Amino acid sequence: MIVVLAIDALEYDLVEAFGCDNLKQKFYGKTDISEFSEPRTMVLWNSFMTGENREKEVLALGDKEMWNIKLDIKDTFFARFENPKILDLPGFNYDKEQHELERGMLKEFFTAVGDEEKAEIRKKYNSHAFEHHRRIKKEFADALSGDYDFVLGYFSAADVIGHLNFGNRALMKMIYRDMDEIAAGIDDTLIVLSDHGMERIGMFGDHSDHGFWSTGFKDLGNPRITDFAGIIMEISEVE
Amino acid sequence: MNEEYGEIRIPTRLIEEIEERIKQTEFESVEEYVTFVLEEVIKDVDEEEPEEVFSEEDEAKVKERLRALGYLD
Amino acid sequence: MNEENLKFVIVGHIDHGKSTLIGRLLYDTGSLPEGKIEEIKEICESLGKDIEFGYVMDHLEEERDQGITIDTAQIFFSTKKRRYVIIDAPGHVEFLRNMITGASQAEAAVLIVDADEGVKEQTKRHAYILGMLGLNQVIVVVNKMDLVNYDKQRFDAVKEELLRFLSEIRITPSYIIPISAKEGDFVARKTSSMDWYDGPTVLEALDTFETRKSARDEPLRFVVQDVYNFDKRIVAGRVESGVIREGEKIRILPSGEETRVKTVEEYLKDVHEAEAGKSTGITTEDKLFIDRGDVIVHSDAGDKPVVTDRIRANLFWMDRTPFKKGEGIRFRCATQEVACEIERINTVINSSTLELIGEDTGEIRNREVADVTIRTDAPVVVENFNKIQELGRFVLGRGDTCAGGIITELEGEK
Repeated sequence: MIVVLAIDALEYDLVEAFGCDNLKQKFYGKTDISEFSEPRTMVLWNSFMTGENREKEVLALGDKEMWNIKLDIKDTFFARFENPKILDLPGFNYDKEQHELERGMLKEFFTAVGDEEKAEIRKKYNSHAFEHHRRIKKEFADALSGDYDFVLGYFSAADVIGHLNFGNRALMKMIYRDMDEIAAGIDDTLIVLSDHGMERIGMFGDHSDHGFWSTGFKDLGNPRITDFAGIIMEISEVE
Repeated sequence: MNEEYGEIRIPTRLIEEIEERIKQTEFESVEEYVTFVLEEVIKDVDEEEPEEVFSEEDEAKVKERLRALGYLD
Repeated sequence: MNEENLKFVIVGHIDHGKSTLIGRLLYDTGSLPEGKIEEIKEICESLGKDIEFGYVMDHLEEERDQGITIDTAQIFFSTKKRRYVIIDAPGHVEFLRNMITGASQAEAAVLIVDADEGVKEQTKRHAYILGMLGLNQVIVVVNKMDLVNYDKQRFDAVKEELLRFLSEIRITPSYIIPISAKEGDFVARKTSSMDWYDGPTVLEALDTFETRKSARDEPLRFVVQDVYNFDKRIVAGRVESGVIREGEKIRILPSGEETRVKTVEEYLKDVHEAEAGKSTGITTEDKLFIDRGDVIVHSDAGDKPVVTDRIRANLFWMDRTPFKKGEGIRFRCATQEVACEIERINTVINSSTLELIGEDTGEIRNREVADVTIRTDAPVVVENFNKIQELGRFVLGRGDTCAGGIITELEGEK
């Protein structure tokens, strides 16, 4: 089984700072996303799945519609596997309702007036994100014990929580620790990958200009996110 | 250390005050003292903890970024 | 619960688990702020797990790195017996200076050693400091026993190495306890992980220690400041420890002459006694020769200060101009002041790295700590710092104070 831990917004600097050894595996580093004009989630994962820079195509849909993309499996490298399992990946099969609600609350937060109201919304927002996180954790654990040859678990907590709470380092640390624990529980060939990282603006988080990667088998140097389709196919041939 | 230096001027009375003060310390010269103090002050400003309160400036900035990334319209 | 606080310090190599031990002490005694625990619990639940010490530690460490919680100058926790205060650990110049000049005192120490790594250079240096400060209530904890599978043989090996070193610097630890601060073994709770160990937990050990007696309960030491001749002859001074009362039999040191307290005088008040901390005046039944610097004690007290001209002490040099052996300098203890000489500079250490700078050296520089032998030009009345601090503490100076010191050994001491 080949496993991909797709962790949205996992930041290299924090993985280092928090000593997340299981996320680091044997080889780790930053990905090169400089070819893209902005580190947009939908653009990046789309490019990952197809192995091609898909910025133009995705942006052409506009900010609203791009979130609704649903690629056909034959347009992705997943089709090359016999029995793949993909969980919640943006642009493929992710929970539209869940993530729309998130964006809705984000909007609410920024239009709200007064600290108290904002604090209330943020609390609701976090709670909602954590609930989803717990659900995905369980689904992922189930998938790992299933009869699949490829499992991809997409985890959005670091990104979602990060946008409104990145300044709360203690909170971020606990999330990273949790992700590290999830990585610790995986015995199979594992690739950890993030689309972009995160950097601080006061209490908030913005996307940073590099992603994170790690493997237990090969030093990938400074790969582009579009390289991973090929890399994963290579391993699958070996296995 | 091969550092480069520029020159600045400060009032003589300050220099005298500092000369008096450093007698009780480990500093060997007024220059050393002043450099140290300034480094500390600058460091403090850089490391200042952002307030827990939602800073308006930060908020505006992030809002802009989230728009650019497609989260907000 | 006892009213007194016991102040102690945790020392040892930086990676051997000091902060985890502190976190564990706070956690297991329920001494963390309620709100904080709630906060961490909430996050744990959000992530779908139960609150565990590891997460608490992560949280605390992160906040400390960001400069938020745990003011490391003083950390409080309580057992049923009393409240404890953990004071900042050595290596900081301020801390050391405060300890030596008596500004802040730990009454006990915990020396921490990693079971896996064993005794390291920093462990030794910190132990050395404990010896220098005359701390004699010491618990050694052998931490991270979980990393060595709670192996008794490993514990015994580390214990042996420690005891060997500690005996060289004349420290006898009160306890040597195997623990895992991370897992919570034998810090506050007895667990089944080491049934070959039947000693106390760290908390139990701490509970056996004594706080320093309040000065009032110590033997009388009345230090003379001046003698005034008005309508009566008033001996003015400060009660450094104990209580002085009308009618009591007293002895003047260093002369050794005896008399009785006739009255205790306080301006415009009618008093019959004065206790530690008070400046007051007395009159005596006999007109003896009493001078500034004399120390008055109870005649029949078994416990007397030492009258001597040779003192072994630890001092903290605080002046930019170094001390050079052979230099004459002034010794001041309470109100006594005499010229003195430093006969021998036994050892000198660097106060921030705690590295040994030299033995039998010829100078002491700013911020260095030295173990010295002092010879005073005239006999002085002093105490071992561990016995009665007020007469065990002194300063050395030229015009200004250059060094603070504490007396560690006295000739003629019982």
